[in-house]
Amino acid sequence: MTSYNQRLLIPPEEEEVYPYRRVWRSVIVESLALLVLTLGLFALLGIAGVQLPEAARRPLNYVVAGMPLGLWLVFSLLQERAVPEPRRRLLGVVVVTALAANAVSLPLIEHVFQVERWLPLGNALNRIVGYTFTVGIVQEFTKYLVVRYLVWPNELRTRMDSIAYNLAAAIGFATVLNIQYVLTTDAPVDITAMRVFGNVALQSAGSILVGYGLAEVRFSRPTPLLLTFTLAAAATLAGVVIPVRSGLANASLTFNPTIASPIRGLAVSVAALAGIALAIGFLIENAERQDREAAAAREV
Amino acid sequence: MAVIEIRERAPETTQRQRYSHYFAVAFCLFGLLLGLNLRDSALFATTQYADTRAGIRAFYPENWLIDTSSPDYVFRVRDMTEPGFKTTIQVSMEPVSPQTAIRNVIEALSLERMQTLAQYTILSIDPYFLEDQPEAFAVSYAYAAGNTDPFLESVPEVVRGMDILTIKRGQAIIISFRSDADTYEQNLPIFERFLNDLEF
Repeated sequence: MTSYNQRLLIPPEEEEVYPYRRVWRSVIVESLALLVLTLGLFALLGIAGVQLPEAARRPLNYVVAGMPLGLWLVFSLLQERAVPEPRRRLLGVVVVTALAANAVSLPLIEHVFQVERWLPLGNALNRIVGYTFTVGIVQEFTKYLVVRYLVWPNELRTRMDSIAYNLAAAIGFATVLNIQYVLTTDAPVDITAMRVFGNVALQSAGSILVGYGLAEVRFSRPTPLLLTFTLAAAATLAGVVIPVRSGLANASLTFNPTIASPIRGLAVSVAALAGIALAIGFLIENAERQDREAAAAREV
Repeated sequence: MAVIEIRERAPETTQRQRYSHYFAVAFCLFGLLLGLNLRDSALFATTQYADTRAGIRAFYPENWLIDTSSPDYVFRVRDMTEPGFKTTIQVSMEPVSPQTAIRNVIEALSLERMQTLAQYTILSIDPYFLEDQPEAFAVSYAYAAGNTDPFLESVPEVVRGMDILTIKRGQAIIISFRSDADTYEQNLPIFERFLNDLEF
């Protein structure tokens, strides 16, 4: 009996090309690369006790502070150019957010709210509420305004566009925070790396939340309060994570001897970013599935 | 050569979307106002101090350390969170004769301080308006404050101060404010609020 190769009879289905850069993949790669770098520096300098030359500390701190932007340029912006339908205003969002953060947000936090003068002295609840309505609101409002007036709604073609643009805003804001930290302190390189990762994780987590809100407003018909809820959630996240991270990472002044544990602060940052990314990823996937089902129902 | 770029028409925003953004902006503005309110209530919170024997009632900054143990002053409050020189507000009283003028008090105080404070320098003496007082003077000065422990071998700090002097019920009332020269201007409003609330 003659047998025929099925491949000769049935033409292979053309694989559908996803025309956009996959945002979650970029987030995972960038975050893991930064986390590995941070842990590596901590193991090398903090645990193994390797001593760097004093003259190398500041230049290395600058390199570490610029690392998130570098990773984003390689794994997000360059990747964007390799896909058929790139997001065109990512770099603009990074630059404008960084300028707004440096010119408005940070002076507002430092000189108007003066958080360093009163928040570190408060009790836990006061610090959470205080950081939420000062640092959290200022950061999230700045990033929201940039994305709202630079790309929303014209540049949003899918829900993930909103996440991508908000993450770009997060990178811009975090880069300014990182550079400011390096300029104003002379911390060891491993501690700088911890701080840099913390800044990037917190900014990214907040931006993912607001990005979800902006995407839903653009593509669905949610309650008009959804965007407000996401902004409030992002600000509250900052309000909770900043004092909790400091409380866990720093040694406390008690009768029992305690030591500083930066790794616990790092774990809080990782948990915040991973938790928010997973939750919003699930919500976006769910919303897109519902859209597909609704479209299919309409065709039938 | 003209280049015509063909792009998709911008989607029109719906009323629901506009309201979403209005609510978001309103929430953020409300949050910022709340943040300012929280800052004010934390930075400008005060605690009452009353001394019926001296006839003084004052509101000093919360979390400042009060000291009433010295015979040199009625009370003194200090901001112990300052890393260097502790910003200080002090109220003291000296009995004076009916013929004594405020100028005499200023001179006596200056002579005493020149002997006790290093590099004591008077910067200005100006009339000062103090509520319910016919006459008051403000004396601005500076001096070098060393660490009380000489073994710490630290560089002396420049301290700026201001004394408000007046005479009431046969007593010279001296209200002093001292702060590190670098943070003097920043802390001066605390002293001004203290003076506004002071009753004696």
